[in-house]
Amino acid sequence: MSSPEEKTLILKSSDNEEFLVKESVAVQCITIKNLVEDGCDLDAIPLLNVDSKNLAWIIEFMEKYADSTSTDAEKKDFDTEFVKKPFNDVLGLILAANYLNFPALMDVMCDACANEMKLWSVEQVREKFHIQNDYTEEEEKAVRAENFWAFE
Amino acid sequence: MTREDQVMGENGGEIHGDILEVIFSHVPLIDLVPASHVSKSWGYAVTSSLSHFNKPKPWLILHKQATRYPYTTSRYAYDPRSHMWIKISQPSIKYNLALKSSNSNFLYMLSSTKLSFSFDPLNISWSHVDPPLIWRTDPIVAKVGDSIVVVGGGSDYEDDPLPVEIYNTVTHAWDTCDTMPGNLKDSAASTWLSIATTNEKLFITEKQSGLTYWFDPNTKCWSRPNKLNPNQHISDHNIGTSNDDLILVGLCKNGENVEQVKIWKVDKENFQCEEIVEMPLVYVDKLKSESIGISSINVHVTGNFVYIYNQSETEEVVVCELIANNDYRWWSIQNVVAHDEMIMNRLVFTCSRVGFDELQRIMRSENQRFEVES
Repeated sequence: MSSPEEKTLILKSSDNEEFLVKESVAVQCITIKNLVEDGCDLDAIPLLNVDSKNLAWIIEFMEKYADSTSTDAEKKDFDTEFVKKPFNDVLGLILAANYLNFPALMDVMCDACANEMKLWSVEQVREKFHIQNDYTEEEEKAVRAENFWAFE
Repeated sequence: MTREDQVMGENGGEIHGDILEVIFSHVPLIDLVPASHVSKSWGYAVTSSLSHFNKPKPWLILHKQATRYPYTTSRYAYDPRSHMWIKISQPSIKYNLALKSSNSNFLYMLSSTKLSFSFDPLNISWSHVDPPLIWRTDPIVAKVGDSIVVVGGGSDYEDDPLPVEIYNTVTHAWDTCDTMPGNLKDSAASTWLSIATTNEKLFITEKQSGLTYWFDPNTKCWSRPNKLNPNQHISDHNIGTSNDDLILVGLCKNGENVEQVKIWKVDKENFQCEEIVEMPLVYVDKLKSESIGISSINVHVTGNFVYIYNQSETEEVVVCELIANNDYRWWSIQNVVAHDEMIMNRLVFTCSRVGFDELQRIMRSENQRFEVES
């Protein structure tokens, strides 16, 4: 007879791929935790805003963090490798972590994002974040003149 | 959270709203300045994030001044919001005298020919005025409202306590008034005293005994003597102002003769003490020097932060943050200045509320550079 801690959940990505995850691991995502506690009895939990690519990564992260044998140092090493992804994927994981309400992943990814941003000029930031420049021409000129160092 | 915040297109949608503000809460204050110029909406998001997710917190600033001419001075700041040390490079401000600070972010240099002082958050702008009439070594110099108050200090020629002199920053005039209470005469030098200021008063506590007075530079009155007496023997008393409260940080011993550091809130009228929190022993241990434990501590208090270090060994600084009622966070940081550098340099700590607008202005116009110390 399986006790609650050993229960396995099926998580379904937006592109219909199914992943098996132990409940005790998956509840690190508070969104999933709430569904479980509310007595959700669906066969599979559909995660409409997370595709299989991101879900696979998220499960990898969840399992590392749920592992009670991994030390803080090991987790740090894992984080360092984990965040070495193209920046669009970093942003994608932040959005997914936010949707799933997964604080530990959110922290790690936001730190990684902040670390990358520090090295970029304003132009690079706009490009990497796909930002629409909402300054008028004059405003842009003025901002550049006052803060030329930020644009280099 | 709207759907737009969660849309992920082929390249990822533009991140905005709460998620962007959460990301900003992880970005150090000095990096938020360029971020605020990326676009208008990012400018608003930075301001909002600083308001709702992770506010600016008071910096601990370390001024390292060589003890020999030309008294080269370097400045470092610890930003507790992002847990990092920053080196601040500035165009050479002439620090040709010993830098001193009695409290908060007030920095001064005193010679027989002038008094120089600064009290903006990063001590960039300095005023130079005539010195007080009576020369004294090692006085307390502090800013209370519009007044710079010079109290105590020692003199080779006078045995009696020296008069208090007040410089009015509005009228640019010096005034002399009554001396400091005789009880403090033997501890008149600033090393024996701990001070705290509000907009109206200067509080002075004798570190060893806890004997405390306040001085009002407007009425030129001293209070009667008070003893800070929180039902425990304290060997070293240090005071400061946290927001509007007067607090006492004291070194004491518990029943088993183990050193403790405790924090009390002190009523400004009747000087009654109410215990707030005790430093976890693991951090007390970090403050101890190998040979003599801790004989005396120095304390810097601003806003919700208390920075504490051992006066004789400044390698570790313990930080206490008041998060909400009765919730305190403690941690310790290593001094960015290495032990061997401490011998050839004097270290002066100040504590300063550096706001985001101020930082934007400084980075734009003041020729200051900020680099993270790894």
